[in-house]
Amino acid sequence: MKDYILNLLDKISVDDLKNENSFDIAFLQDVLQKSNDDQAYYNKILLDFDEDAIAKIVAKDNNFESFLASLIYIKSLEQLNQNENIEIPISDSQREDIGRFIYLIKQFIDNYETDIDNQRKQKNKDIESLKKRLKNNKPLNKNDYYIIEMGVKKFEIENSNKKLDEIMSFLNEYNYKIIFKSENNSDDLSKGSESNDDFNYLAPQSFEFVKEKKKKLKKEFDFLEKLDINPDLIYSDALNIVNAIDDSIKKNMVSYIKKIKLNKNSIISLINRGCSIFVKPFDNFKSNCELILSYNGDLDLMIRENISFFFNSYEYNKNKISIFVNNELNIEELLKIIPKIFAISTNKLLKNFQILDSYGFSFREIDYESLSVIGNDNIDIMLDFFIESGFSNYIFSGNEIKNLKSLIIKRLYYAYKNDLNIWQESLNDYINEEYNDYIRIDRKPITEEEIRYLISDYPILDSIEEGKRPILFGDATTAKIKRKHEFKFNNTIISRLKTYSVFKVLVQHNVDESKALFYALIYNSNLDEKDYLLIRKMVLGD
Amino acid sequence: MLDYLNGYLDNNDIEIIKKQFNKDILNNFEAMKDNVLLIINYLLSIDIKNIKNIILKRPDLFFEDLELLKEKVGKYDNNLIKFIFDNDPSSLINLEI
Repeated sequence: MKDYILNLLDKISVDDLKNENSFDIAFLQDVLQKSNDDQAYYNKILLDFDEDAIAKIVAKDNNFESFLASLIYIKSLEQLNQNENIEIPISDSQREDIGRFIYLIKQFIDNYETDIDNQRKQKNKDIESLKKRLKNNKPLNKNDYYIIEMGVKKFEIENSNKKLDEIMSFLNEYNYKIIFKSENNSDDLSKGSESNDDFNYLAPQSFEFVKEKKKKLKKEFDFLEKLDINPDLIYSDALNIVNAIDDSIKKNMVSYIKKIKLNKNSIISLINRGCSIFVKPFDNFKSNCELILSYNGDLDLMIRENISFFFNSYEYNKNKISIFVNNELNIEELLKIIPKIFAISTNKLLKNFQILDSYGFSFREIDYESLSVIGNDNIDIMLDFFIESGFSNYIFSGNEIKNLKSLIIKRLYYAYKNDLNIWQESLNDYINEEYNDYIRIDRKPITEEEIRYLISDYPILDSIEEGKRPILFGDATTAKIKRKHEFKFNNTIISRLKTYSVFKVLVQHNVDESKALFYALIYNSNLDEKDYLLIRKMVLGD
Repeated sequence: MLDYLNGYLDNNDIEIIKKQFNKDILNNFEAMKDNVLLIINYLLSIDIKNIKNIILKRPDLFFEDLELLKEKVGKYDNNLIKFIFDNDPSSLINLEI
């Protein structure tokens, strides 16, 4: 990046730098003419200048500050006269001040070309000094930043904002490191500022700039120092945020972080990966920590595995915990074994717990490590897929969550090895995009009670329910599982819960009930031509 | 907001992300942009290009510690991981990622 900036500086010319003292000389000449011709305008001349312009014109006056103040007062007096349509007279000495202002305008016009030429020479010197400082790892000043910014805007027309962002981050870090080093060796800093002597009129500004930066950095580093953190380990954007936060929040943070005894890596992570906590009220961070501690959770582990918990709102986290509590899961175990589970959105958790419940998951025997399956999207589609692949016995043979997770991992690997779509093997010929959109948006888990209502409302379902549920001999539990989850068409298994939930969506969208049932049966199913024709004949009769 | 993603995603994708998440989550993406960029660059370095979908499906990954993420991803075959990232990022949770 440094080389890039040096290359940029080689290309930049003084003409690329906006001249802050540039003035419309024709306008000044016009003003002079009018003040000569029109006595009424003479008193009002200052109304044509803003304060910056007045300051530039009188910059060389020996009593610059008091003279400028006097002119601004006269201007406000004239402004009042004009706005209120009144005539507060101005004194003789004030008229003299206006006369001097007009004299300085004349001088300004006379010297303008020479001044601009001098400024061009100065800017050339600025560019050369900047290159020298950059090559010698010396701190940069405000004017240096300005020159580089102008260069980027000139030569990176397409992508100047992004490039500028990158360069400014680099420069901030560059300066921070150099100035921070100087913090530990004040001689270096004073040498650094002396080396800026070739700045002439810019020198005092640059020195102030360095001092100001140093003061700001001192504040940041005080915060980090109190937590015994090396600033080199902190990202530049995080440093900016830390710098911007209120001192009282910093103070509370320092004392609370010490109280809860976070380890050093956790503190660095909180600042780098979780600096949003500093933007939110301190109590939010504190309440989140206390929520974890109330379940004997390990704060360092949570920061490592799921930092979002700390910058989410306390109420959101509390609600999320209550979802697990309502499903009779042990929060202490979850915090210890699978803290990442608290990064899953509450909407997804609610939906997936409902789906698992509708498919008959009991959570009686729970393997907490496997509970990560609750974070999958489309868990209903996964379950239908496994049921239709003949795995319902396996899933519901005790410890359902563990069995489901094991099947998901096997399927991921199988799909990868065989280059298959992971959760859909159905034939594209049968897909209806409009129906799929309805299903994707509106499909919800369905209960046995809702199924009973559906069957009574749509008698077409009755024949499927009675005729296509597998009649199993032997073990009663297996029969119960299969009757809940499967329809059988010869040797083809169709997920029963999928059929009813998809049918419900389609009839709600006014799809004809025969078509809705047919599509619900074939939806996402891996059917061959023979199965497809069989189901079609049975439902649609053609 | 999220302008820093311009070099990685087109405007349309950035707009989709902005619509998908609430302001709070977007603010987090802004505040922790250094870390977000570290993760994006890491994913690109292992040839995973489906950045928009990964942000939409697994925003939490972008606040992960880079070294920890590398460690978790490193446990699996590169091509398998790439396949899952590209096809179903939400399934990564089954691999403890």
